Amino acid sequence: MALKQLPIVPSGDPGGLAESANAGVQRINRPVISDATKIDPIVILFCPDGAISLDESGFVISYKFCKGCGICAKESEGIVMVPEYTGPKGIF
Amino acid sequence: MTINVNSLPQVELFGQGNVGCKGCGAAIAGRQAMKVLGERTIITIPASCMATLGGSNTRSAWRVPFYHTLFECAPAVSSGIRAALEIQGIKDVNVVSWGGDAGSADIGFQSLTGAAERQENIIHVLYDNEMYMNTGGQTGSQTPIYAITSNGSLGKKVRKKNMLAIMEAHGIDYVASANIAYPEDLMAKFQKAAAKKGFSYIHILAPCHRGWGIKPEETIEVARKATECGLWELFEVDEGKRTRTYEPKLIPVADYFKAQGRFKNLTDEQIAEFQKFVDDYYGKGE
Repeated sequence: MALKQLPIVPSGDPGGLAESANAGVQRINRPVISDATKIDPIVILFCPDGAISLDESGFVISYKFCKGCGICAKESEGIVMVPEYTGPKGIF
Repeated sequence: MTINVNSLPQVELFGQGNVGCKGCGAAIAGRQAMKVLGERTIITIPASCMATLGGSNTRSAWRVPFYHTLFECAPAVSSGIRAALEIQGIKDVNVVSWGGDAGSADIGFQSLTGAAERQENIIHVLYDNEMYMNTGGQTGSQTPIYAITSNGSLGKKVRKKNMLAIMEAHGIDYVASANIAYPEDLMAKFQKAAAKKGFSYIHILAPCHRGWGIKPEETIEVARKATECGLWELFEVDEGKRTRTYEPKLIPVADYFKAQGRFKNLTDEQIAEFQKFVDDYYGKGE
């Protein structure tokens, strides 16, 4: 059988997980930009989840992807971690 | 060769939506590498955390073709993919096999050494978290001496196998060590490896905060300390010519060990042993 006649098997949808990501369930603290001028652009490469990007308007954090590890706040100034849930202790 | 962070492609070929732990070192390594390799890449991954991170069944975090191979044969599958591409006359594709320390240095070693011996035009990446983290943190050949693992509560008795020296001895085109805390250095090495016609091997230190006993946000910091103290040298062997690509500041090795839970039983004498080794190696001892 020629190569082009082989049957096509179902394959994965490229980036299918990225489209329906919901990393927020893992988050205890969320990163918030406190001073965008102080952010070191290298934190884009330190983020395991691709949650920080740099576009025309500046740095953007996507809370769809961010799992709240805190690497960005540790490695760069201008980002702080704030608790995801506020309110009485023990009550989310 | 320097890489400007601002001029990198915006598209995220890997990383977004991966199902790893927070602060995963392997995911950081994958993201940094894919920024350079680009979308004309086929990646094969043996059983490892990285395979799990990529998703299962028809849902994938990769935006490039991703092949989950059996544990022992990622470089062999990559060789086959390269052969198929050559027959079809496709030349602009990078074929990368991406194994963990078990999938490259222990279980997958026979196919790795075979592909290196045949000088296949592929890149093999070993992302090294120094334990079998996908199965719960068992001791492997890349675990450093004295490190506590889930099946070795007294610490490992023997030294880490020097995979970089083993791969260098194959006489392949390109061998390099890299570290996720130095992304520009890592990406420059991937750029060089992608341009080579023969086999390239890149060994990335990618800490796992679960196994190393550190906090998720310290992943990059501890990886940086490994290089700065001199224990993880950044170098490349480009067609036989060896160069150190980063000069470490040589901070005390105790800073690196004391930061990690897996070395909590380390005595001062054992730390002094490491310090002497590093000092001798960098020519600072007397």
